[in-house]
Amino acid sequence: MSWDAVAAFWSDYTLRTVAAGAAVIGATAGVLGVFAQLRRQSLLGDAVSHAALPGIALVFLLTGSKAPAALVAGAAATGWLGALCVTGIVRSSRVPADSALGLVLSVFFGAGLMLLTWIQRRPDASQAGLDRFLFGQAATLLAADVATMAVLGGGAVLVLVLLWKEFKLLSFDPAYAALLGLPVRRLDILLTGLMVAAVVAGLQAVGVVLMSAMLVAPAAAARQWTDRLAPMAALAAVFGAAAGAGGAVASSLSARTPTGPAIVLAATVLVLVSLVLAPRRGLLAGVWRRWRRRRDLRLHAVLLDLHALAGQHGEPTAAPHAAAVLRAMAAGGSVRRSLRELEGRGWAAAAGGDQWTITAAGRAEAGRFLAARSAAGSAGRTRRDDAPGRDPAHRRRDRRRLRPGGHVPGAAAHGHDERRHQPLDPAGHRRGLPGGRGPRLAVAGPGRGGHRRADRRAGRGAAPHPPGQGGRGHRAGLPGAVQPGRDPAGATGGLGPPRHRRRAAGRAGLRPLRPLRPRRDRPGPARAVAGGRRAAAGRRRAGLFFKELKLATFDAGLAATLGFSPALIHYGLMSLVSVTAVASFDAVGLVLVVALMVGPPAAAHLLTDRLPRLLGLAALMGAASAIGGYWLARWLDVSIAGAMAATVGAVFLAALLLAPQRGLVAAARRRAAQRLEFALAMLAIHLSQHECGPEAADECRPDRIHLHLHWETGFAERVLRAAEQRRLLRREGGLVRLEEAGRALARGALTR
Amino acid sequence: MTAHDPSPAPPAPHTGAGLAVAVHDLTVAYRDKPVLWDVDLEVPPGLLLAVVGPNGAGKSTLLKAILGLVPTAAGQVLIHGEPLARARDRVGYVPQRGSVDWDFPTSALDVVTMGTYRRLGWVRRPGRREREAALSALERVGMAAFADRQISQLSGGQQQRVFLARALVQDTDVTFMDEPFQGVDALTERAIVELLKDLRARGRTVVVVHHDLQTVPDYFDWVTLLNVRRIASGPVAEVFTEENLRLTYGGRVGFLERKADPTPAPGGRDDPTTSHFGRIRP
Ligand SMILES: Nc1ncnc2c1ncn2[C@@H]1O[C@H](COP(=O)(O)OP(=O)(O)O)[C@@H](O)[C@H]1O
Ligand SMILES: [Mg+2]
Repeated sequence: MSWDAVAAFWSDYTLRTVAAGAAVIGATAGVLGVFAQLRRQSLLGDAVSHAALPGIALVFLLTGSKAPAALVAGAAATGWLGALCVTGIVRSSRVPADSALGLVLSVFFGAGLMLLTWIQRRPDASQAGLDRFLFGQAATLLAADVATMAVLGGGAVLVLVLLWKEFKLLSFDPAYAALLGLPVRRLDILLTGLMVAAVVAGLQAVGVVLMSAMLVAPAAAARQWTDRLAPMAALAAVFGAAAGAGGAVASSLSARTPTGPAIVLAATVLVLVSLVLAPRRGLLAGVWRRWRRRRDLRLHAVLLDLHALAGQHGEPTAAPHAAAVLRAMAAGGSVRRSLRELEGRGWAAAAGGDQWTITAAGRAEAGRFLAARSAAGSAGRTRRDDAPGRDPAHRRRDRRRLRPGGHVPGAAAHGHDERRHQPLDPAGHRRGLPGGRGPRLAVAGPGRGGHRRADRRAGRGAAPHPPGQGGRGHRAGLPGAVQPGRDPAGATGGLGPPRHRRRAAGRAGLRPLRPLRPRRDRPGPARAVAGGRRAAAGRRRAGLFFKELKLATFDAGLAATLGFSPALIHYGLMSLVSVTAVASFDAVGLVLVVALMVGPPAAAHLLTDRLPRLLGLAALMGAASAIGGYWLARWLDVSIAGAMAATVGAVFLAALLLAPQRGLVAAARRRAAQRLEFALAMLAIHLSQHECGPEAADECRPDRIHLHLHWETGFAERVLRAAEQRRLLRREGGLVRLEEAGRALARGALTR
Repeated sequence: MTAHDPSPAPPAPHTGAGLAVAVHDLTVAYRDKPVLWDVDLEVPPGLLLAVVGPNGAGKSTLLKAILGLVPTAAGQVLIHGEPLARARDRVGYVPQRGSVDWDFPTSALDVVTMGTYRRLGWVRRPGRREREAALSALERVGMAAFADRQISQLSGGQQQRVFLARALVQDTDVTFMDEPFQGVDALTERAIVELLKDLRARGRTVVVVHHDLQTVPDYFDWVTLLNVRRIASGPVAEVFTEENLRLTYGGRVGFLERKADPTPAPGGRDDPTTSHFGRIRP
């Protein structure tokens, strides 16, 4: 930026407005992003922002209005719905959080694209400008828009600051928050609501595709610099504001750059700088620490040698020793350099002719070092046992070894990981959401070779068709989209599970992808042949690795079946979109790859457990939704990619509801039946525990049972009647008594 | 054991009067799987109670259900005669280790200060008084020097003590601890036991999920044996019997070898003193 530009900036009212607006968005998203990151919900923000698109389109379709307030309301509504879908799917099915996220965001976004292309077919020009919500156009911000954002964002931050300690506790230890009597559920919803507000506030300027990066990047950068929550939030606000203002101004200066990518690029730079330079957690600091530790070891080795030599001769300090001797004693490294450094510290002295002596200070230091080492040695086991950052499993093992016989077998290894159960735990439900590995990696993504290559290809594939002019051209999202997906293993870079597994699994992940290419005419013949060969090789290798694949995916569920995290793939794709700054309808077709990668396998996983059948079903459903979506798009004349994603969503929804065993309908029916069985067992156990005691007079009165078991009167009556019918008990002298069958039921339930 | 030997009057049924904790007919199920069946539990005030049982017996679940952290299918819980909703100021909790995000940007002092949040009420921030209370709690567990450490930079035992300090600063009548001795060294274990005894001396009640059967008689006054249902509950001397342990742990009681030369007890097998675990060699 030249000096003129700076001057122009200060005199330019529009530019000032734009910068202020983007800064407000950045700061708000930064602060809320901190909490999103700590609650592992950063990626939920992604679902929210993508899901906002159909809301915007719907509001326009229904009201014909482009008033910011109306559009923002629509965005918030469907964005919120998207968030609910993610949590609902995770809670009610076996679909892992990652996949639920990728699925929801791509399906909602696909629906939004469909609507948007549908709107664009309308003859009048009134729709112009809606597409700025895709990648953001800060240049269109007016003072009134900025005021709206400031109110929305400022309000969100104000609530956050007021309830700071409550939200902090909620994020850190929700169980304890519940114990203290905080309304955890409502606070959780409120905090998510604030996040939705921050996201929709930024949509006009940053766009639905990249808005969530504003939640992720500033928070991830800020975490690098501090270990405290308040400074982290403040830093994130500053980073967000800086990225927002910087990106907005840069994009306004070069005419055709959309704002979103520019802002996200600025934020990404901040993250990279933080990753490298941060004082304690940064890469450089780590390298520096390692280097120092190694140097200290090297110096002390030589110092100890000198010390030992001096001790051997029983002399005071004076006798010098040749460097050559020391070199012979040393394991390696440059002894002379070490000696010189020791001299610098006053621990050794040169006696001329390459002879060296240890000084008094050096002796003291050597003594101190030896003492510390022997202390560490003797305390080694306990210390290890207690070392921070150790894997708890190791700790447990060590502990058992330390106290032989001190534990009951089985009881000693109290091994089960409570986190695994968390999704059910009302206080721990936040754990259900992904993102432990999310934020930092996601932003570092674009730097990886795989991305960069894929992205150049995608950039080329996505020729600049200005939306609305290119006729059918804008539907060509798919060919470009297939490419990064073709090599899922490469696309995940170093981010996924261990490499061999990722590779094997990634190949198998090709299968659901194949239906993506039903249109043979699109890629040239040579490419089709090459692609086919590659796919065949993939299939062969998937066959070879089948056993490993099966093992590796045994319990890790769908995400591992595919061998990579859909959320990360999505992030990679989006980051590369931002890097190329090619923002067009074509580029966003990329988003929908995720739908086709995640949807069919997720749906298949609801229908079957067996891997071969799962792969087959996934391929089938993928093909069906691709073809169905294609015809739908033809018929309605809308975005093909969008229609395919929407069809995937419909297929998945059908599976989620109707799957014979895991479907929500089947589950609800089963639960009703189980409730009665459970109640019967509970009644039987209750009676069997109390019927002999003196308390039986009260505990076994049929009209009091509901009080003891805390049932509703009607339900207790129903259970009693059912129990009588099944001859589990009989009424006798105003009390109920267990029959033998009832006692057997109680015994059976207890020993189960 | 100390001279402290509680032998409470038989509790009035279901009112929980005179009891620190009264659990009645508690049943808890996770989805379709019941993990606690019809559990009754009565804990008189002013004593240390151990809850023991094999893995997956539902010990943690019992604590969580008492504290309202998991929904119950049936049953009733009274704390000092009141339902939890009205007794929140009287209960503290030290969760099982590993239930929080250790990388959270917060310091030891910060965590302990959370114990004052309920007293503070909504919106108000912890001030000097709260920080001082937190610091003195940290001092009581010997962690004052680590007040400003980020929590992931503490060792396992130190982390455990921080959470103990958080419960101390809450200063409640009844405290529930889920395996406070898990993964701590012998020194820390002794310090924690001293703290427990100190709490008892001040009339507080502590319910501890405990794993090391050997130390039960040394550390605790009462014990509850739990395995899906309550096997037994009462003074250690009465209920901590081989028979009950066998019922609790099923067949896996091969470790209960008798001493090479056991003094034949007059009452035989059923005499509680003979089968008292303290006389059984590991
Ligand atoms: N949140 C949960 N969802 C489903 N099952 C759970 C959950 N928490 C615990 N369980 C199951 O309940 C049983 C009891 O668990 P827990 O109370 O943690 O046992 P303990 O603490 O005695 O080892 C175990 O079988 C465990 O697998
Ligand atoms: Mg437990």
